[in-house]
Amino acid sequence: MGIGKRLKIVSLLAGLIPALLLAAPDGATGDHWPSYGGTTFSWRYSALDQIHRDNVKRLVPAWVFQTGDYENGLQATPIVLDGVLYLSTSRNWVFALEAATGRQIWEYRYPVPKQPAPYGMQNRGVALGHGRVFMGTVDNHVVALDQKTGGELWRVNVEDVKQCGCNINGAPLVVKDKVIVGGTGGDSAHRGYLTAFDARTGRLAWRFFTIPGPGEKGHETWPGESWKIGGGAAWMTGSYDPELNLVYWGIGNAAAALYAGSRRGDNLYTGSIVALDADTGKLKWHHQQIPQDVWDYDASYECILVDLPFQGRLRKLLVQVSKSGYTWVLDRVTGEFLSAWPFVRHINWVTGITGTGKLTGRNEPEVGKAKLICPSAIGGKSWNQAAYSPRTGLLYSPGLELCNDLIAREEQPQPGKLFHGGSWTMRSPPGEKAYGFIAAYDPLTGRKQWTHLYPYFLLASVLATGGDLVFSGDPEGNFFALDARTGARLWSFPTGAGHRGSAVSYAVNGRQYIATPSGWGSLIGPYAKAIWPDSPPFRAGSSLFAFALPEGRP
Amino acid sequence: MIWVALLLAPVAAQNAGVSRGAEIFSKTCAVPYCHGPQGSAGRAPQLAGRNFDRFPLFKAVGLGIPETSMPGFQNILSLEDLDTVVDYVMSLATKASATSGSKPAPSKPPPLPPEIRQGRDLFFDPARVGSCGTCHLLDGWGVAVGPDLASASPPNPPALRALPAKNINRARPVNEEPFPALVVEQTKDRLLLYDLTAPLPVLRTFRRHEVTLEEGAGWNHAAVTRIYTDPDLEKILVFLRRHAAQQRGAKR
Repeated sequence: MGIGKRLKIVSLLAGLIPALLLAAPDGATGDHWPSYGGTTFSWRYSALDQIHRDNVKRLVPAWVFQTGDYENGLQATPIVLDGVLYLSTSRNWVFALEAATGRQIWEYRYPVPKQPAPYGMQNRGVALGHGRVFMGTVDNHVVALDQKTGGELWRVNVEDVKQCGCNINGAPLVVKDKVIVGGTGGDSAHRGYLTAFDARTGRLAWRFFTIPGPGEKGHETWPGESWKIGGGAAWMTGSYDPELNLVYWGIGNAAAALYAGSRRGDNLYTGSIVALDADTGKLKWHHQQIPQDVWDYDASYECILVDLPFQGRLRKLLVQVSKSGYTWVLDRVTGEFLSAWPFVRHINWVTGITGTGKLTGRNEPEVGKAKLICPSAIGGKSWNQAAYSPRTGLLYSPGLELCNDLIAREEQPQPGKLFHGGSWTMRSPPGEKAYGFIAAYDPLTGRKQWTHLYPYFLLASVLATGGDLVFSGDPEGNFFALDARTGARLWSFPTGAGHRGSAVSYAVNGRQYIATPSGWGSLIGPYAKAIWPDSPPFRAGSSLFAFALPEGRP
Repeated sequence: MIWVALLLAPVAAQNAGVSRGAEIFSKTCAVPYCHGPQGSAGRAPQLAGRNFDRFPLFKAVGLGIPETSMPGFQNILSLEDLDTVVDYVMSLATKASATSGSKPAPSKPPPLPPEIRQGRDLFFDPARVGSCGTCHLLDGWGVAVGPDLASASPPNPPALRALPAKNINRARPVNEEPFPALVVEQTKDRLLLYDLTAPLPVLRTFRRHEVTLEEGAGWNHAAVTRIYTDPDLEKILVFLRRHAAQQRGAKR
């Protein structure tokens, strides 16, 4: 075969391959890390493969950036576009850095008030779009900054922080011409919502209340006035499927968190995943994981959008590793329940979940009497995110084997004030010590490929790459790489401070970087000592480490 | 019953179990949603650095605080454990910087009469996007975009709807449709203004040369009060009048 002919075949193939890839949405990132979950499909997967299983041992720090904000650790997901990295800190400082060198381009400091909301000073990241950098604030504002200069362009008060007792610590999601934000407040006497703003002007575009108001379908699931204070915070970041034009968002627990005496009913749409029309915010479908939640099990975590064969048919799916210890698999076109599989060993709040998604054997907290419930309200997984690799077909998720004693209590709600309806006391699971892990699963069946065990909790997100690597960090400060196929620990680096953020990968001028926040914090971080009194110190800090292979030696 | 006995019982030795108390505190009270490690505040109030009297503290820990998320631990912890937790919380007073010192807890205002309560609820109604509180700060809640309502209020709903649009201009930015704007700050390089187009005011920053300001905004109070009926506004006025009267009373 002549060279010309061979080239022809290659180009023919090259023409075919992208067409095949286009058929299935690609949630992989490349040179950029444009959105919170990588892409709006939330895979947390980078197709870059310069760093791979065989050379990861040679990974070295290329640069380190110290933010100087030591409030509550560094919990963000950096966003990278065109060689510039955007990073937010717990006090709502934002930095634009040269992604290849760490050199600061600009800095913005939001004027944080003396008394922010009761959900703490913390921030999980910014969003990018329309030449702007968007951030939710500790006092419940959304700000838009000029991507080039860091100058503030607009700022809008989503709801008075004193009134709602809520704020924003999740990253916004940019969808077409809008920026969408949720907020905290799910354990307060508050009614949750998602709000979309015009990205250019900051003007309100739509608001979706997570609890239907009078006259709306689903309102009947709330007796009396309970809908006004029923929680349902959308405190994490959603996903978006451009082909279906649907925004997917996980909705948090009902309030009062542990006592349902004044809200008997299904309490829609708390403990649910909702699919909204991106242009109007209108509900397309919902699936409720937990009707009348009394365990503080939000359904608020990331929605991973994948297209995979399910029972012999290629389907558009949504996978959520949920707080309750189960992973839910839904059809994301219709919201149809497909399966739920347990990803932790200790689950006793239900005896199981039926083939149609119904809970069986509810084990509810009781008034005035402690009851051991597993997993704990920290979750079978906390808000740190899982990753999905299309190369291995595996889902990589952090997990936590921990239980809690729950005691329910009737409580008088005060608008905007805490509305717990009981108390939590963390306990080890029966017969063993609490521990954390990262495991690799078949995303649809839960069949486990490997488990990486850890004696304490692992609260950093997972990153998967085309080099068949899985990256994450531990509270002792180690940032590490696992073999995506075997779970073998191939490399680690002590960054000196605990990991509670989300690592990303990107490339500048053909060089691949892995960047990770380092700095222990968050509401549950300091709780380690109560669960593991003998644990080593988990150190605070706030720095971003960027790793790469030594230059010129891929 | 056991509680009555407990209240009457002599106070146990205060240094008995600070370390045991610390352990119980870290597992029970410091949980992420509540008082935080060493009482440094999570979502519930900070305990470190505050000077508590032993008896009220004991009562709060044992019986809880009504109308808050603070539960009573009398049936959860043993008498001795309750005692050690109280010891521990009292020991935190000396450890932290005493910024909050012996500041007494703010006294709760008396509950509002129902007819005034209704007006207040409507004023700040979170179910209506663009409620009065979106633009007016009153009684510690809301956002200070529009005028202060503390001292005066119109006589009836039509008058309230017809309130003149003071200080509102039409902003005409380059490459954008003009919009009603309330100027907050103007320097030679920069213009800071509220964009009043949507129900939530947007604080926008322009470079001075990017926007011109014109008289007459085409904005009126009638349009933004349309989310309320006349009977709603009547109730809101009752609340406003009462508030204004209180303000005058306070000044005297």
